[in-house]
Amino acid sequence: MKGLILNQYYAIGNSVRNYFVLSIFLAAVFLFTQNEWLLTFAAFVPIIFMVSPALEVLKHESKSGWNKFVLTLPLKRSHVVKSHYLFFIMLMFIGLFIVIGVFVVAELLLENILVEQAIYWMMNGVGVAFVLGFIAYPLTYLLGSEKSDMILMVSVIAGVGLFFLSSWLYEQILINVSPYVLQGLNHDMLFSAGFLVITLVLFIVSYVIALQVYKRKEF
Amino acid sequence: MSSILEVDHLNKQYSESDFALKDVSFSIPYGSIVGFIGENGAGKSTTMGSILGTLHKDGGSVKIFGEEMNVEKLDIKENIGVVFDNIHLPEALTVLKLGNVFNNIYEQWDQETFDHYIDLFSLPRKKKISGFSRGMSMKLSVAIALSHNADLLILDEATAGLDPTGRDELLDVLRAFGKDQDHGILLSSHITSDIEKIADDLIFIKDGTILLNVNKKELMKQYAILQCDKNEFVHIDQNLVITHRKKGSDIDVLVSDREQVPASIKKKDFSIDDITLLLMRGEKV
Repeated sequence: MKGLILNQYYAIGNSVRNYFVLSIFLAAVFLFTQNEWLLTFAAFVPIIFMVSPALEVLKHESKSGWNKFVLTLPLKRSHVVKSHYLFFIMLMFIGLFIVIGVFVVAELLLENILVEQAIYWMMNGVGVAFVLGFIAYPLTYLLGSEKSDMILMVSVIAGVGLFFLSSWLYEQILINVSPYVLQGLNHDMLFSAGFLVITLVLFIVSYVIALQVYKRKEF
Repeated sequence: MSSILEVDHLNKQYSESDFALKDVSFSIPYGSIVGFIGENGAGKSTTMGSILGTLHKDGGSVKIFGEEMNVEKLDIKENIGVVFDNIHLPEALTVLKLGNVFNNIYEQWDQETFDHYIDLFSLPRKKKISGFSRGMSMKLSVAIALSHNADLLILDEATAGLDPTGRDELLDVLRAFGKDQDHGILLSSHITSDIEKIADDLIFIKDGTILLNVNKKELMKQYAILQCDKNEFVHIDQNLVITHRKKGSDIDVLVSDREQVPASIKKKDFSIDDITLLLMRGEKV
């Protein structure tokens, strides 16, 4: 497993480094504007940026033929799928650490940046990243990495779309539910925690589906 | 247990094409090199893919080291070295990084042996694989296959793209590997002269069916290509005829025992290339 993770890192190390620098730069710019809308982006963008090279790996592996060769190595097919998902999670955490780091620095310099709301934005960012992985991996295994650019685009649209759809649905629920039931609840936290848990479950379900698709694949 | 690899009635059909492997059976004895010969699309790569598990076989059995092959059996795969017909290594990596990756995948990875082959094949350590020529890539693939103490090598067109010197180097390495009585090699190649140089046994395949499986020495000593006309052809024992091909008024005939053929019929000098051509183009009786 370590070898597979290492291989993925070597394959897209340059992209990871570029996205890392770009993420810090953009998050810093967004934060220092202190515009509320852009502050949300500061919590989203690094996480999304950092996971996109993880999806790029599949394209590299297919283009080079590694996806065929890897099956001859002393590894199970499940190890290959697991390594893809694990690498995705590792990059997602790096993205999250960038966000936390930039927010902490901004808080020290500007104050009132690392507010409670910022934590919810980060949770939402992780949720959107889970949707990306949830859609991209099974679809790429199924349709082939030649379509990976289109799949990545669909995943990003689906991730952001699902987030806005969930927000709208949540608002509708709040409107229609008796105010007594919701009394004393932190609505933002409830939404972000709910979105995170649901997308995490979807991500786990997608791993099971991707594994089944990958086991049937021929190279 | 006398065979390192036993393939028994292997069947494989593709859903999107008419091609199929039909009851492919053969074995590789320990300490031998088996040449796998056939045209493009004959079924060599499909057979190898079905053995290795990159393709799902429809039926039949594949035993490696006496055990039924299963892609989940890691100890079997640990002991197989594979080279495909094209580079199948991550292009963004260098030889150094690749060594590091395999060191973390193969339990038996031997970095010293890998370094030895990298030096032997004069491969650059810090250049990205994407910048390698086809010949360099094939040498690198062979170096990897030989660097984890594998006992069985499965090589699909491993000599393709190499210059004559490179091919010679590679064949020497494979010959030395194959001499060990714990080892075995299945080697496919379009370049039959390569197979002729190192193989002990030959398997000819066409349209997914094995046409001939024979010991090389026996083939060269006992078999014959006859050149005859229609009248002479009918006097040949048809049980001896493997295949024949009409060429104008003449017929080229491959027979399995030159001693049992009427002495009056002309016997041609032949190479494995001639046998291959006759098998691939000829008709069965």
